[in-house]
Amino acid sequence: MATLEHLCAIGELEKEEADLDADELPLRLLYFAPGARARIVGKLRPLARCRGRNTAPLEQFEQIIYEYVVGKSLAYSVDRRKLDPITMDVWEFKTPDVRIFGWVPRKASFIVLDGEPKANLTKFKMYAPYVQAVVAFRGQLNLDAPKALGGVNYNDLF
Amino acid sequence: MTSSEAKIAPRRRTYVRLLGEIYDQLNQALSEEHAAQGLTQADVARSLDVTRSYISKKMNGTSNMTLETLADLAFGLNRKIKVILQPNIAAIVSNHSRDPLPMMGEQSPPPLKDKLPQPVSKLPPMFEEKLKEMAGVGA
Repeated sequence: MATLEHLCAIGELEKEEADLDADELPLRLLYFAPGARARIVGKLRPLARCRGRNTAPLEQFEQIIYEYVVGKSLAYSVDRRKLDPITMDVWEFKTPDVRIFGWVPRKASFIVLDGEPKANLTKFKMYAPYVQAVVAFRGQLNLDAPKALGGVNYNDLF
Repeated sequence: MTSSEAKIAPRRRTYVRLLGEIYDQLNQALSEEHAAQGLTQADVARSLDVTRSYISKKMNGTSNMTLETLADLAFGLNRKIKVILQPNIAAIVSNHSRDPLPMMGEQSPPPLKDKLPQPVSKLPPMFEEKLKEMAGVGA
């Protein structure tokens, strides 16, 4: 069994190095499964800005990753959350046009496995493969127990 | 691909971060006003004579943000907007290591190193005498 840092050192996870300004510090840690960032970027890069939006899907992805790392609010009310639990301790980051799937292994830490344009997830049953993939990846990852924090209380998790 | 690749270009990033800050501040303000006096999106919509759905879309980024929309939402939230253009901290740090630039029409000021106190090559007479006294005591 290994820590998150050890898994990064042996290449089983990739730590996100967000573009922070000189007066910003990373207050949360974000990791990608090997190749996950490139896979998500590959899906989002060809997508143009949707009608009525200020930003393109890839820009939304980079911005929400930055906001997570720099410690911005993830929930303002029941109606307005940027990070939501789905099921089986799998969570999704939400932007207007993108969904990013992963889980919370430690307080203020998140591991991303995959992402998808929201347009491809029009029905809830379409989430199932992503949830199953996260659960499967988490199961085989040689991470110290507990591998995932449960619950939906933001103060406990972030 | 490493995690440092495929990020947003710095110029575009300024815009994307600004938008993120605007949405964060608007939602934070609504959250605070809701806690303080029970203000809801429906109340904001009523004060602006628009639908609640319009407010919701503007506040979660699914409908585009303009300066006029921002001003309207601030009005509906009874908040005042302040715009601050802060100096870039990285630029300040690098500027501090350089000599100041001359103003137009001025001659270049002397380099900062020339303004620093120079090493003393000869002590004033009173210190020379004191040193001789001390040397005599030790002998």
